Amino acid sequence: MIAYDRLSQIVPADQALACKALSVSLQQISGISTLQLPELAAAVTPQQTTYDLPLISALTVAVPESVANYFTSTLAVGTGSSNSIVVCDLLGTAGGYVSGPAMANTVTTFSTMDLDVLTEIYYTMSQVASGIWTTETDPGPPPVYSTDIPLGYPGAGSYPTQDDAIQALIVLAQAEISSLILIYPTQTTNLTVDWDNMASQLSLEKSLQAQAGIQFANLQPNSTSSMYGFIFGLPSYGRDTQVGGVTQLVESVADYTNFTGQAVIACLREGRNQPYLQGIGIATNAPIPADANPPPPTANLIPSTYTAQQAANLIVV
Amino acid sequence: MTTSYLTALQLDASPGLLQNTGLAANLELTTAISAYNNTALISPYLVTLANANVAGLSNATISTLESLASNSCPALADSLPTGYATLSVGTTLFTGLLSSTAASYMGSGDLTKFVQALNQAQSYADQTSIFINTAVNSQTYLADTFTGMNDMITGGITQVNLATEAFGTDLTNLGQLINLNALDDFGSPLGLIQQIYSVTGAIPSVSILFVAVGIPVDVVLNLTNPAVSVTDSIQRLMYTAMTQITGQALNQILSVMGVTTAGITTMADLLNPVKLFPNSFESLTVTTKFGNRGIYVNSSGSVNQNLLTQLPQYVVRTIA
Repeated sequence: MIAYDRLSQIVPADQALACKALSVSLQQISGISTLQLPELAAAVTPQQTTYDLPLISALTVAVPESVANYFTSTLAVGTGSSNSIVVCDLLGTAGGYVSGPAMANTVTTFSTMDLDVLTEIYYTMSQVASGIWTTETDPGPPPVYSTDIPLGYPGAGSYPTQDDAIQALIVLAQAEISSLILIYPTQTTNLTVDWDNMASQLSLEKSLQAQAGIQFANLQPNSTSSMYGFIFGLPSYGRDTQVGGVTQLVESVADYTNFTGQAVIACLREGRNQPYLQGIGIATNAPIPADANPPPPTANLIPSTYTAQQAANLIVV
Repeated sequence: MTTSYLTALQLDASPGLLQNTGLAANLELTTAISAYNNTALISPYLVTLANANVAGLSNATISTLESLASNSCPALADSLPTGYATLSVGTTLFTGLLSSTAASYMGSGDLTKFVQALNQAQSYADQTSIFINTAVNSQTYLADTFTGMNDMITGGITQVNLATEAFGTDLTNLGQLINLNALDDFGSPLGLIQQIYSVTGAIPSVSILFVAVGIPVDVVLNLTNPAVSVTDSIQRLMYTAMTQITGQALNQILSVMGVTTAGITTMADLLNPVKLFPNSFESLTVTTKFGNRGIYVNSSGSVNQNLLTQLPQYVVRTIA
């Protein structure tokens, strides 16, 4: 490269400075060194600018923070990277996303707690609701009934109605639940977190389904073509391996216990293999030829070619 | 007609799927819900709710049962945690909601509904992810190198000249005069002659004048060599010679190089940006550490002398 101090000794100094400046300016165009001048000229002439768009011209950053914030604050409510939305944020409950582990954990946690008193209260409620302790005390009219919870059971006593008895048992249940929360702070906190997470997941799904326009009541029943599309798409679904992605959802609803469910999972895995194999040119014999065998017969169509004689007859001499 | 293929595994999966088997609500979830509902604690509670109407329980009582512990520890009464206004449960309580939701998603026996919903969900997730990720990346993309929306949408062309149409016209009129792969030598007599010779080969009239101004013959004969190096003093002589190349000799060069720019009167003009860009030199700019700066300061072609301190120093001074 010839710098200004040398060039200015060869050509007029002003001209040298302008040439060096123009050289620097042109070289910041990406890839310019690979172009011929006519190619550059052809691209420059039709370039459109932000002329007469003062608000755009005045931007000092490509995307103002307020614009980015609109999306991150309104759309970014999912569980994917950067809070992006993943398929399981819309349909995850079907695959036990969040709820599966949370429910399993609930049962496990119950086994670490003494729930006998609350269990007894609930059992008593069920007995009351079943009516086995309710008897007619006066045939009336109107008939009069009494619900009598036997001694030894929570809330033992006589109540005018089953409703009254249940209400009394609810008070006992509330007290016992408060007691359990004091006795088992860790377990009850974990349970509450799990259940909040499940409810939050359901709520998120409902909200996102509305935004995505998914209305289960309006889905077309028996849409065989949709299923064909799903089957064709299985290999590509398999390549979406992000947490909460399509693969996770489809795997989680695939029925491992039968042939079809296992074939679905195998399709997903096959789809993940394909890019690696195709990338280095290894062919598999998994695709089955789709051409008809034998080929379908050709229909008898209206003749569309001239005979030699017909062509000769058309020649003008 | 587009040719599509099915793999053996896709075909294997198809009959079951088309008969609504092979996919179902997650087994871990349904098993866990069943286990929970069958616990000694929850089972009788569900029985109570199931018999609520037969038992003549009031709506208020049923409602209380459905929300028992909802604001403390909902797992102890299968209730919906408080704070989720868009959700509601019935007498099958929260686990009933989970079960019915999962079943609904799976199409309630019609798997084609599930795949329709999946398709819509995936489409929505894909679209929104592009917006979200782009918005997030936009705050760090380009860092502090953004110089303006014009530069961004024109690939930096407006950093050279905002008057794209006029600049483009000037560039078009220059034919093949500038070697964009040797811009470091733009403006030097050697760079110009090498570009001309790369297109035309040596031009006798030019060689004669070069010799006439004192350039050694061996140097002149070697100028067609793209790797040739000549001293600055010889380049100065080349420039002097170029100021004398006019008329027919100049027209021959302009013609061969496809130059149609008006006002070129000597070969030396081909080294002067004011002459090369008659329609757009006034708006030529260069990006410096202080921002975009004009190369010329007026219509008479006075050069912006501030550039001596604003351009990168390796451009201004030869690095030893």
